[in-house]
Amino acid sequence: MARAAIYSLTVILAVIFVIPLVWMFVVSFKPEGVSAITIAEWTDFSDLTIRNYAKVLTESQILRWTWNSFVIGAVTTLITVIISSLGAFAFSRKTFRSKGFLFILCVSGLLIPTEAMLIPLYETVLSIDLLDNMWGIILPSLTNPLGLILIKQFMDGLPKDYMEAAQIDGGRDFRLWWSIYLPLTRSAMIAIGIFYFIMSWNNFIWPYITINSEENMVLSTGLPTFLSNNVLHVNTIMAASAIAAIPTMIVYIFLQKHIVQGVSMTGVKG
Amino acid sequence: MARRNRFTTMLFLMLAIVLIAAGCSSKGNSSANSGKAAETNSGTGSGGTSGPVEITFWNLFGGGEGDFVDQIVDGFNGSQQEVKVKTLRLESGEYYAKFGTALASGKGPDVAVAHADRLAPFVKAGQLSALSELTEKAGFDFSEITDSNVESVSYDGIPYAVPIDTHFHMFYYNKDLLGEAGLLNEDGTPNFGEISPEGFKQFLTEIKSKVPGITPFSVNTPYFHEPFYNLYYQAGGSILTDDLSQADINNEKAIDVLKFYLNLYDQGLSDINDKTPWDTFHSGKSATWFGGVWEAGWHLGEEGLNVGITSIPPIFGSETHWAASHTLVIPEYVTEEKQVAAMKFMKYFTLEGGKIWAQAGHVPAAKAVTASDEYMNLPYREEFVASQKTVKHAPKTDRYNAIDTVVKDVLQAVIFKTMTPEDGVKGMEKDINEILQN
Amino acid sequence: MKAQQAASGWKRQLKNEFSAIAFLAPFLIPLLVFYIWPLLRGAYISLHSWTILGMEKYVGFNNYTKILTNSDFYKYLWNSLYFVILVVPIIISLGLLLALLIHRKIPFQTMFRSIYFLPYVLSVSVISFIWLRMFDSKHGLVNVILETLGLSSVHWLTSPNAAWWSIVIATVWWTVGFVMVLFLAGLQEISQELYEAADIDGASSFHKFRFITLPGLSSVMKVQIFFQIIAGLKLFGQVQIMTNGGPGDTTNTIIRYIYVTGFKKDMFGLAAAQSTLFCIFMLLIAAVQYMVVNRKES
Repeated sequence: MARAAIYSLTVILAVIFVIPLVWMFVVSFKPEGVSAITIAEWTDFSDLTIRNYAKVLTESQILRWTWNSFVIGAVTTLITVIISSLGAFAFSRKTFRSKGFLFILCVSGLLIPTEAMLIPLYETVLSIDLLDNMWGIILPSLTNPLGLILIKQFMDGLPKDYMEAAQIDGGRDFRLWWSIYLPLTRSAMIAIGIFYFIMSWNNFIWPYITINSEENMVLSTGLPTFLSNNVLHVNTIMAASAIAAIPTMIVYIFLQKHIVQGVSMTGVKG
Repeated sequence: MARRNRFTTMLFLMLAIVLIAAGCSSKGNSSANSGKAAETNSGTGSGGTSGPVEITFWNLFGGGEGDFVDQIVDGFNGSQQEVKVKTLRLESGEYYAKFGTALASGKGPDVAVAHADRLAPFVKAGQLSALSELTEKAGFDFSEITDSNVESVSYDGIPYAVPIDTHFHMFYYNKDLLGEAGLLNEDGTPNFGEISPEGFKQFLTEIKSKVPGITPFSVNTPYFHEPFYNLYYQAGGSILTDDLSQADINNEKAIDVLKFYLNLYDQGLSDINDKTPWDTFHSGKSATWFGGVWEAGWHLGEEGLNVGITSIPPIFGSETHWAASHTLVIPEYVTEEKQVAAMKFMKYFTLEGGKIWAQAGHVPAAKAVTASDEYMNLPYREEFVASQKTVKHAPKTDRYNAIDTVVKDVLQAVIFKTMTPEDGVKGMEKDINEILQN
Repeated sequence: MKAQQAASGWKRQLKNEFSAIAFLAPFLIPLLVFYIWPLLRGAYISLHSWTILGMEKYVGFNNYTKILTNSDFYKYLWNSLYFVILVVPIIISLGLLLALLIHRKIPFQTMFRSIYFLPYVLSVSVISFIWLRMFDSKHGLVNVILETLGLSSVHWLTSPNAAWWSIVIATVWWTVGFVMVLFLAGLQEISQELYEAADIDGASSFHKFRFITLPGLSSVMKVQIFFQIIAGLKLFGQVQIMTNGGPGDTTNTIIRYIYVTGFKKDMFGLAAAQSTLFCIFMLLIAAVQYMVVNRKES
């Protein structure tokens, strides 16, 4: 009895969770002006149309924005994972004088989010001429030390044998990192990489402020620009949202296991 | 071990692929942009042989107006082969934030719409191209533009923008609904009764009681500063003192106007929860509306909607009401070749495009257009021209951006009752004075 | 001999130091340029009257006195905090509930997990637009459902209280799956034997939850609360798209306040001072949390 009640609660919540998404898709296939708010409208399949999709694809550069978001996410992820791993290696496996100080410096990056430094960061990026440029989005997001901390924790847990006799030679250090530590921390890196990719994909305020030209916009900022001109066109809005949602939903369905693992690792250990 | 190596190889392969992909897209970006790469490209490509000059045009026109802009841009692109205009339409609420950063960073449009009252700070900062020389190259003469418009974009006698219109509000009414309420005169004009705040309320109450189920008066709540200015200017108010040194908004007139509107909302004569009042009026669900002249084409063209237009009645005394003017500007960072291309587009927009723009409802800035019979034969244009005589523009201060933001924010707070009208005008005065002293 | 040894030891140490820093450099350089430098630069800018074009004049602490004597700063800071107060308890308890629901062996477990987590992979603009439409007074699904259930409809986005709830609901829907996944991972780390032992003792479900599950999740819980508080204080995208800070200024947050001051009013100096104050506030929050967490542990 209790079991059934709990199970039905699970089902009801799941239904509540999917309704907005299902509604988005239903409305996106309806002709302009039909907001699909009655059961009759939902179940009427005779008026379905792909006109809204055609409109979004021809009038906006939504595919370009998706591509930009993807490239920025991928570049950010790969660079952060590698530089975090290098830094983690130094903190975990090397002893040096400035270690304590530098570690605190790195960790301090967790305390203050980019959002709180909008003005000076904007000024900095302006002065090195990276506004309206994907690198102006990528570089400031490399400062998140979460990956470094997690990979360091992971490396701390590995046996120390590998370090023997390799303390001094810098060149050998690098080989050691490259051929032993990098592969050994693979799972941590994938997890962190996924986490960074999602963060980059969701980044809003920074591209919103720094990107000016339509070609360079990312999905999260291009969409509002396009949709603010279509405030009254519910169906267009939903079609555009759907187009923006589909790639991530597909990726999620295929990589679900990795994504869930990635997210849980960053949270539990952090 | 083999697996591990494969992983690192894969990782770096991916990095390489992504970096190449990134390289490609940033290359694409800079050529599409007004960046330096494009400059050298077009410099070596020498005039015209390498296809048209492509320029990016920023504007803030949504909805109905946007369609007319598209018509003009298409018309221009079709009329010649040398220049190709690409449009980017930005959200009007964030437009000047974006435009300001674009000008400062040197990355943005080659030609852009800007309101005449927003030009001062950009001109002062040297961010806009002076147009005196360019006009010759494009065969354009400012004498073709109405004098008062030219004056509004000139600083020390030098024009920095090409004016395209003057726009303001008119009183729109739904003839069918007013007829139902018995408030229509024989000639189809509204019968306001006594013209005063109380009289107008009476007029709306009458509509409410006779025609249930509709909003008697749509107020532009999302852009509330516009209806506010209309009545505040009628009452004889100003934003700043005449010498532009201080705020002049903390007074009874402003409070009266705010209380008047709050009263309309409270009595259900207007709907504060309506986020798209223009659409409510357009779909016949409200009887009256202070609509922009630019909506004339849209409302009058709607089948089944029986609309009349007249000047806003002098509810608070005088006929003075709010107005603004759209202009086109070329940022200073634009390369010379593109500047000339942009100038050609601006010339086309105001002289040729003016005819299309006039259909939207804006009063065009080009003398030839407003003088033409074609223009005067459009509906209600005599009323527009008459109404234009009593308009009041925003103060010509280079702090207008900040002042405008303050006024908009505070007015929103007042109508949504997170602030009393008294505190609101006091707050505005304080903020505006701080801005001016800064 | 000794001197030589000392010299070579010193040299070795230096070499070691450099090789360690070489490993750290790729991380440290962006950190210095895009984190440390802007922090200092922000403090400098905040002492000036500054526009997007650069410095106008030195004004000392004027910007700070202006901010601290004006009620706006406190109001918007409170708004951000208010959002945190609304959203964090809901997101944590709902996340925990969802995790408990699907931690048990039930049919379609993976499918449910996918459904609850799915919104999290959408971009903030997508979820904002979906909920903007959901909450529409006339054509929104939420009001239609409320009316079907015989409840009165709500002006979600235009009445001050409801506007906050709209943003809270959208945010919870969007990110609760993330919290749930973390709790799931935490649940998996709790030893099954503890439950078995409790069963032998005849403990009730509530007792097991109170004395085994909750303590087992405490570290995940702390990290999550910390994460969610920071995320809540950073609120911007949903507000910018869904309400634009309105109605009035009821949903204006501190980040949006900084954005408006800097980019819409072009008062960079003032905005930098607001930023600096907000940074100090964030540090205070972190310190308080650190103290709370440590006290509980000892």
